[in-house]
Amino acid sequence: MDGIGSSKMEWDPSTPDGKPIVEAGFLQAKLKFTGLPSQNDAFGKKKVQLLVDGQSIESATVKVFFPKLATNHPGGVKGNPNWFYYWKEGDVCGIGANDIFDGETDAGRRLGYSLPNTDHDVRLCPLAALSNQGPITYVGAPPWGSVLGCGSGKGIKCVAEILQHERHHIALYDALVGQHVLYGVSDSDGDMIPTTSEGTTDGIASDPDDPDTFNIRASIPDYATYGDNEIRCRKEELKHTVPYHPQKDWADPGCQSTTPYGP
Amino acid sequence: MKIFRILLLCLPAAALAAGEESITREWLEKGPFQSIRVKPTQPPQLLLQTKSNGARFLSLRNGQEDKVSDYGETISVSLGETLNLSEHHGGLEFSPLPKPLDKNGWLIESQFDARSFGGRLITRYGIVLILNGAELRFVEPDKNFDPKLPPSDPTYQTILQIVSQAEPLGRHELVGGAPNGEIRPPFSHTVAALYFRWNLRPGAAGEPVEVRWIAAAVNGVEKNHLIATSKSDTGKREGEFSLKKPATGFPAGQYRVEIGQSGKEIYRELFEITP
Repeated sequence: MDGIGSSKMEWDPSTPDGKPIVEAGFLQAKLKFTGLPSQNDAFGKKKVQLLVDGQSIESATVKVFFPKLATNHPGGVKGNPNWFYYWKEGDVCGIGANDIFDGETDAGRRLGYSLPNTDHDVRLCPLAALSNQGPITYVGAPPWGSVLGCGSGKGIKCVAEILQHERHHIALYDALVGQHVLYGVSDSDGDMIPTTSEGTTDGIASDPDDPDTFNIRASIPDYATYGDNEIRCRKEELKHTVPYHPQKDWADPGCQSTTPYGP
Repeated sequence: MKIFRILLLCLPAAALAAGEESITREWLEKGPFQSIRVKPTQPPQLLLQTKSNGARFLSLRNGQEDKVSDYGETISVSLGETLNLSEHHGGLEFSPLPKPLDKNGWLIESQFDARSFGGRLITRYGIVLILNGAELRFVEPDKNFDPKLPPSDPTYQTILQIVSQAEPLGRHELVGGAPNGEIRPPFSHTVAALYFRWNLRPGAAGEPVEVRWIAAAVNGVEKNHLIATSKSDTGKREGEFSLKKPATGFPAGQYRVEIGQSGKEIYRELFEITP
């Protein structure tokens, strides 16, 4: 059988070097792999061959996955889930070198967040690897119209959407700070979008005197202060410019598992 | 630079003020839900109806992914079950109260993570109880309560008092006496006697507890025929009521046992006696 990266391959002592024995009318050889590999591309399709006198007379292909929520990967940060380690290592869905996983108890209820007043890194939380909740249409009072936002990805695609969302929060924060420092712009309604940019930023025209033009607060009252910032990040998710690669997803469950999960 | 500094200073202040609010029925129905009701089944369930627009939530039951909620959907939560509803920056969790109050309601925790906006994490708490199988009661926790709700916590004591006043009966069971031991309902007509064992919750009033054995629908007997009554002594906090079989055995049919205190019914249980 093909190897699985750095995973230790060991034939059972009853079938040394893969020399089979006959059991219940079948040729059998037992092979054990110990430890997960360090690289994502070590998973996937593996060829298993039956050799007679060194000649291959039969072969089959099997797929090797990692358990998505387990934490038994060999590298990265101990305790991070396998999905975060392998999807980051294998560049499966756009997780950046400095992006981190936050698995603290409280974070278990969130998809992700950023600290734009501290750094440019995204913190992914346990729910990021599950399901996004879109699409959602947010409606403002006339004449503001409506905005379609929020992705509907599952697994790797949900992670890519959350990364896109959070990076846009960081970009909006930087833009506000930059424009204030350079040009002294103000943000009269406190939604972290400069007053002079409310009519155009991200192709959305929002009310410069209402921090939540499209009423996200109708479901979550706390968005009353930040709605116009949030709506832009939710619209951004639908651009899908953070790439995701289903063919590189070897999580179980994942895009290629028997019961697919995502994208 | 002055305006921007003021802006940044204002955000945490606003968040702190919001963080001191408790979760009330009004807060929930103004926010994520269209309505909150009780389904008076046995056992009762909490019904959360989502709104017809706005946010949708990723729901997890007992930590396992369930689904993304639909608009106008009614989400049911069973007593003892944990339900987590999350969206991008907001999340709501219904977790069972510590035993033995887990059969009466949930601690609700709301989190809003405003850090992506330069703000802070805002956490709110509330408590929702189902009393007497049908009544919904919200309790606002004390300001500095411990969310783990140990018995020493004043908020725990408040909840216990509310539950004890509304549902004074604590542990209870209805069993039948049979030659080879005790049996559970439904009972055979040959059952020798029926026993109702009970105790009162801590904090419940010590007035006498009354029992009424009733033949609800039994052939040859008028409907809701009162078979027997009995009363415990004042101050007694646990006991057993019994009903011995008639000479020819209990006639088959539908029966019920009603438990009361100070003239008010505090519990009833329907049971069947089979031919």
